Amino acid sequence: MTNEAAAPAEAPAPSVGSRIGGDFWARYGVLLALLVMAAVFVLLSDRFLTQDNLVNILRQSAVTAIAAVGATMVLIAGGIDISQGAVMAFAGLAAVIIIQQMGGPDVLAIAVALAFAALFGLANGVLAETIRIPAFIATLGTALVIRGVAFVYTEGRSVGLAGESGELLKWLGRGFIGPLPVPVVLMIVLYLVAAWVMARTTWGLHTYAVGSAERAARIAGVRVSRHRIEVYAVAGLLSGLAGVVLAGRLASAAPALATGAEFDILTAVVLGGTSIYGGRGNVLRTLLGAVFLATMTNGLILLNVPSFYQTITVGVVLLVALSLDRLRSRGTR
Amino acid sequence: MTLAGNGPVLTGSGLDPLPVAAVLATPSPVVTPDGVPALAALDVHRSFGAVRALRGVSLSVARGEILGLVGANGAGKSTLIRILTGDLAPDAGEVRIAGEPVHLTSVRDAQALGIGVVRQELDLVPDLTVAENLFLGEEHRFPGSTWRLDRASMARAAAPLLDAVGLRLDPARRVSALSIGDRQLVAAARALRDAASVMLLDEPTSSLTPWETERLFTTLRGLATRGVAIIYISHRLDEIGALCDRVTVIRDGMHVGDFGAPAAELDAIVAAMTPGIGDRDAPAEPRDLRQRGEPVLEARGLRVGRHGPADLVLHRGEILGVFGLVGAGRSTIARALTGSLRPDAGEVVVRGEAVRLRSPWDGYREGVAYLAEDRKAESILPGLSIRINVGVRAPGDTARGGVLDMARLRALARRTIDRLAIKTPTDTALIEQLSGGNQQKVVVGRLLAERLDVLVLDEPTHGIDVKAKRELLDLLRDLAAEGKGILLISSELAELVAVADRIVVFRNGRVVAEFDTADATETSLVGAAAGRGHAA
Repeated sequence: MTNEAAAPAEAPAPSVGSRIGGDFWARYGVLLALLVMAAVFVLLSDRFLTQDNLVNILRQSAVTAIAAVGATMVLIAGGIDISQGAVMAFAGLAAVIIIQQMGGPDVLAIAVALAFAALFGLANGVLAETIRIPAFIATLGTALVIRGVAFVYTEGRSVGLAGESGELLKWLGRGFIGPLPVPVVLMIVLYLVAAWVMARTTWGLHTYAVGSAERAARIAGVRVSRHRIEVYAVAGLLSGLAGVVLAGRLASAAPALATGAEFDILTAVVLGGTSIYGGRGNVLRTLLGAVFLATMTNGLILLNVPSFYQTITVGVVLLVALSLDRLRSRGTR
Repeated sequence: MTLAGNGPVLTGSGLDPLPVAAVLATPSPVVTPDGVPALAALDVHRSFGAVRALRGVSLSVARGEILGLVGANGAGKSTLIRILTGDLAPDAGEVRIAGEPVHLTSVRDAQALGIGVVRQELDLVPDLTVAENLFLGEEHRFPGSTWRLDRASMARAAAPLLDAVGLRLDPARRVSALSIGDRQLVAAARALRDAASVMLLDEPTSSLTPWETERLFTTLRGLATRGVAIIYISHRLDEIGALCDRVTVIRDGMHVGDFGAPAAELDAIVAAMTPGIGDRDAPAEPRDLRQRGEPVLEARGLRVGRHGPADLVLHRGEILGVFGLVGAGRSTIARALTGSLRPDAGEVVVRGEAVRLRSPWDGYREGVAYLAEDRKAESILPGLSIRINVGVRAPGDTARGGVLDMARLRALARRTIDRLAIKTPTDTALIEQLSGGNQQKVVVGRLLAERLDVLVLDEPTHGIDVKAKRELLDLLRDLAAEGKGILLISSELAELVAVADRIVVFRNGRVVAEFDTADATETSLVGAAAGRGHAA
């Protein structure tokens, strides 16, 4: 005897209306919100709709957006990584320190910084998947360790790139290719590649599968733990890239760099409609989420809203996005 | 309910209270003097949507009596138990306690009326102590205090309860440190706390050792002599024969017989449990077993936990049916055969070579795939399209060097939709938009996607409608004809007899009988599964 009798043999398909409604808001909700908000800023400030300001918004969104690619993948795979801010700080510091204090060439410095970041991601994956610490706690732990090491090594001081040194690093953060800042170009390329990987490769497909239903994916022949570890490693690598770009833009790095960045990143991802319950999401829409956040911050600054209010605004936006995600997931889970 | 001082009075409202002193001390049987049953169900009906789980079941148990309740998988036992324990309301019919009609609206209701349940999956909190578990929800407090626990009082009150079930242990021990058998008895003791005048036990021995089982039986007999009415549900007929005074058999949601001397009537009980062959599908065209191919999948002494050692051989081009009652270990062994569980001992042999499958991924590489019974939790990938649900692990067919070949992935999904007659407007629809039957077809389609030649299917027709069932079974036959080896686990005899070439019967994690389908009868299969009858 089983419980089968308790369930109707055939579940009714959801109505066409609800299907379109759910899809529509998940797909175009951020875009609409972004347009509405932009329209409001245009009306309230004549400095908003200028080429300089729009490029500025994209540049401001780039660092968050680059790290958010990894966060999107991790969330889709059913995990979470809140060590991203710490990894960004460590990678940025590592690059600057290798150039400035050890006299290493830029390429090597950047490579080493990225390798560290990927390694931290791998550690996150092993802690969450092999040792099976809940991902939130595991990555909280690594975040503390990583940032702590950065503080110890620098004794809490920031390190700057003096004069001519670190040209390549600075170019990554401040350079231009044509009219576009390098971080923006990097961001766009990265998003195109990530979107392709998620939609067109087995790796991307398996990322969705492990987040959608872990046990089902396993039985269907996907190596769930191993795959998630890979996803964490990729996320670490991308956090590192974001940190390097940030250090280049600032021409310096500090152990307190990017403190709390993981929450901006998470907000961008969730705004883009990626579910924190795994299995659903879209990389390109994360870009919209990141641009939304940058636009909001930019507009609030133009309107002279004090920065403490911006923190509150980001928090509210995150909670609204999470509530929508919860409501969307309720029907199917 | 009040528990006062050292001698808690266990009151059950609505019927003569059986003070714990009576339960624990009355030496002579309290057989219903007036002939009124302690608990009775009269012509109980219950449907779930179109499924009629119970269509007129009656049952009664007297004080001091141990009633066995048996029926094959799906007979309606669980539904009946849920109704008797207040978990579910009947559509029609009534439940009477000590002759009085009652409307049970919750499990708590039933407990207050003296109906205690000991379930298969224990409702104990492992990290609390025995005493804490015994009084969970009814904690003793210091007089006049709302919050302060009186542990000493609980420890004192625990002693007679534990004594009544024959447990000698320190009530301060954590439940997680106890053996399963001891936990079972603690659960029984907790049922006694609620002044149980009727105790239901649902498959209590499925994870007990023979010694623990015997101890439980002694306890139950003791409780019966003290006037407790006991309903004992089990698949194990030898236990029913050894323990029960009387047996009620239900089948297809109906009461089909009472047996007053179970030990002597086990064969008749098996016959009563056995579903009719009215719905037997057209039997498979007799296939010559000598024409089947070489062995493709073998279990040799496979052992997982308490299941096994299991031995079986599946040949190419064959459908091997696997029958057994719930808890017989069929799924466990199937999982060990396909890499989703690691065996403790024994060998899995694929195409003549012993292999070590550490995960289903390894299984797929060997061409062995498993389809789990629990569609929601272990088969479908919710939130994803039909296309992805079919193609999730089809690299050989749909990807080169990790890059998906979208045209082939689409073609594969379309082919699956056509071949399995899946009703959907498009292959990009989300899987949860399909009906249960169509979802099941999609995940079966996954198994066609690759060059898999060994399919292990665990209740693949579970919960799908008759038409979809037919189509799936036809497909399985086609696949076998194409040379795949198929291990088909099913609890539906009609289905096994219709498509399987051979049928093996599992009991206690072992193959206890094997039949050529032509020689198998429903009675012989059910008999073997329940521990009666003889291996062929």
